[in-house]
Amino acid sequence: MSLRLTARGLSLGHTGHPVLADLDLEVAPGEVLTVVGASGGGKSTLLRALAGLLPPTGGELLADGVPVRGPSAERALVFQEDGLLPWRTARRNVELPLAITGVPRRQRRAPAADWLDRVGLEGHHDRLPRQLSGGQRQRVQLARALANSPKAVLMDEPFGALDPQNRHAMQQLLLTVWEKERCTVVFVTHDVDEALLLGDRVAVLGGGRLTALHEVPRARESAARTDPTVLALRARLLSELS
Amino acid sequence: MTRRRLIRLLSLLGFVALWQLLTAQHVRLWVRFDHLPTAVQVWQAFGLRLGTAEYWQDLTDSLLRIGTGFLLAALLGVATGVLTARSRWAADLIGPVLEVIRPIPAIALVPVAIMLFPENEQGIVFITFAAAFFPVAVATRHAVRAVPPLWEEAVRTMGGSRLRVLSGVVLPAALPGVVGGLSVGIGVSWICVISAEMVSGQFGVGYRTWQAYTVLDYPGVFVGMATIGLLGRLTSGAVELLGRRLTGWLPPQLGSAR
Repeated sequence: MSLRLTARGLSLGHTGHPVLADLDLEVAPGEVLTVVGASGGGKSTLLRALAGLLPPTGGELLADGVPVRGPSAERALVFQEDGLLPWRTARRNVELPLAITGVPRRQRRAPAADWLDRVGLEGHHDRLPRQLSGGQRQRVQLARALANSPKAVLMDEPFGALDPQNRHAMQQLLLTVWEKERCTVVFVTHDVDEALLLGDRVAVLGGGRLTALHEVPRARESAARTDPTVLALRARLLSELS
Repeated sequence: MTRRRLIRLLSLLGFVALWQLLTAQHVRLWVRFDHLPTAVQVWQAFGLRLGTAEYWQDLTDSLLRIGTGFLLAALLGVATGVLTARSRWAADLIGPVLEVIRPIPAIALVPVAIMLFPENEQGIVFITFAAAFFPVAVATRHAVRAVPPLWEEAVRTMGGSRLRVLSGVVLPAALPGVVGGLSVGIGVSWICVISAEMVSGQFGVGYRTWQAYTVLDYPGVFVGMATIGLLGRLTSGAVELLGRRLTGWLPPQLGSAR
């Protein structure tokens, strides 16, 4: 189950100071679109608009052709910082989206525990967020985002604060999970290598506009760091960003 | 742990010993300790008072008054705090009135309470309520405003309703601040229930303490004061304990009293 996300002439912000200006973008169902760009370029704003948290001031935003009118459980959001509720244990955080959609208490436990195991948190289910490391907390966030089988997952620099080893492990975990779920993913990052590793396409955002959109020419399994066409694209992206 | 307990116990015992010393020796160092009853006299008077039904009647009366007033203040204070923090409309509508009433000491409301309520009892509960209401409401308002928007966004993108955001995010996230307000509130409540009883009460620890003074029963005054101190400590302790239970997810504080 995956969602087609469409932005047509999307604008956001005040007329004198647009955060997003006349943006056209289509994310195909089941695609991983990574979004790169300088900070302040509108990446997070685009993501929050897609989530339905920020209403567009111009243009339109569609999910499977239906206008987005607000947040919905079919589009999950993963934050860079701690979006976990600190008074809930890891398991109860993952149970939260199930509770909101009305899954009875007794039927929440098993799927939540299952997801925590899938993201590698066996034996940590009953820890509070403050008792987990930064990497483990992001694993819980991922499990929480996916627990309700959303049709799209919107990720706002989710691995940005992690050390290189943890970040690498999380990228692999995300790919593994995505291979199975095949939901649409929009992944915002400031890291070009991450964008190339994860994305089917890479969108470059600058000054609130879409400045470039690239296909990543490889099978995802192949080593992205050595493929000459990917390396050429990497060089191009870096120059576009500077 | 036991060492700290020992020191705390010694602190109380030392205070009583010093009191006994100063009063039994009729010390006059500009301040005159020779008029005060000795600790032993008060202890004996306390023993006698404990055997009277009147004492326990006073105790339950005061506790019932503060219990009712404080509970009402906690409920309405939290509701008002949440409302004024979350709704601009509510803040504009009831904020100014509250800000004008807030600086008035609750005990200064005694005349109003006497005129407003048909019975003394209700007046005293009203004073107690007014005392605790503002600390709770103000603490709640600040705590709610300080809730990180991230948590609310997280629940909203799970499809959570406004009610779910309120009950599942705003209230639990604001709880540590609310508990702070409740702690302050219960303290102020005690001051005001005792004062109100002194002014307009029938029965109650405050009434009895003042009564003892008017008949020159000085040990009786001190029995009353000791009772107020102990009950105050007890109720504050209960609120603290409740607060810690409710906010067990917070990181343990360095040097916390446990």
